[in-house]
Amino acid sequence: VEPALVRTEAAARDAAVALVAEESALVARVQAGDTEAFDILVRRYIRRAFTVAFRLLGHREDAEDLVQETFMILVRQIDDFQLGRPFGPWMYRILINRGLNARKARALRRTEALPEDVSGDEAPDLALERAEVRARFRAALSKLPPRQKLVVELIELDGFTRGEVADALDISDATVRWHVHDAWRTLRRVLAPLVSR
Amino acid sequence: MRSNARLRAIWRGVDGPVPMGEAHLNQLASRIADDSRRALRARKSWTRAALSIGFAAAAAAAMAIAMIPKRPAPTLLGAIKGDEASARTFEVAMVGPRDGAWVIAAAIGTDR
Repeated sequence: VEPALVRTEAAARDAAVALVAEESALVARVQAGDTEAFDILVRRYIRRAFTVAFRLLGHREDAEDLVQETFMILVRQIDDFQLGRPFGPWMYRILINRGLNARKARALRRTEALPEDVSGDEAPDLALERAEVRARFRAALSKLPPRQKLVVELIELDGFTRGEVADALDISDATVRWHVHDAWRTLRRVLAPLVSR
Repeated sequence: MRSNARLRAIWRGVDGPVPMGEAHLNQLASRIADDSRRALRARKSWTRAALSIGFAAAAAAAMAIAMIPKRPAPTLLGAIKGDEASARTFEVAMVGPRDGAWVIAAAIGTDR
């Protein structure tokens, strides 16, 4: 193993330890009733929490409700948090479990299409083709198990690292790799005509 | 894998990360902050109320116990007079007969 790589890994480990210590201190303050400490944690995680919630529910308002509900559960259960453990995985676990249950339990509003990042002057036929390809991708993704779909979208579209996804879903790095591999196998099979044309 | 790379490029060309404006996220964070403030305040006052109720209940129980009239310990003389005779009184009478007291005590014991 190259010394530079070892140094990088050691630095990453140190950073993770420092983060856990810092977040434990914040949680201890929340346990003592400090609302500002909780606000710091909320602002630190809200972007990623919203991303995961949106990927799970496919609708902005449902995702917002899920994020808000998750943080309220965290406040109510703050005394159960074991200091010295990372905060993120605890938050994601609650968010994802509730999100998956919400998907099953209630008839969600129709999935909201993500705003398109195309400029207004895009040719109509090109826009139509993009929409068609996007629809085919979404149809292919809907064939994946919910957790697998979440894994591959977070990594491929939202820039999560494998480690972050493993922490969020409370699974091993190897399981994340397997999900990605299996998801791509399905996508390749279903979307083969797209590649060959 | 090459086919993954090609598919990935197509996918990223038509889809992207979940869109979120900074203002929109701030709004959501503020809403959560308000709710959590209320929840933490309620939790604090609930704890205080629970402690107060606990202390009040303990004090009331202690007072109630203190107000219960104490029954005098059963004595041989009391037993002769017809009060309650404990087994201990009876035994004391049996082992320490004096002036015929044990006969009376034995009679009371039999009677009971």
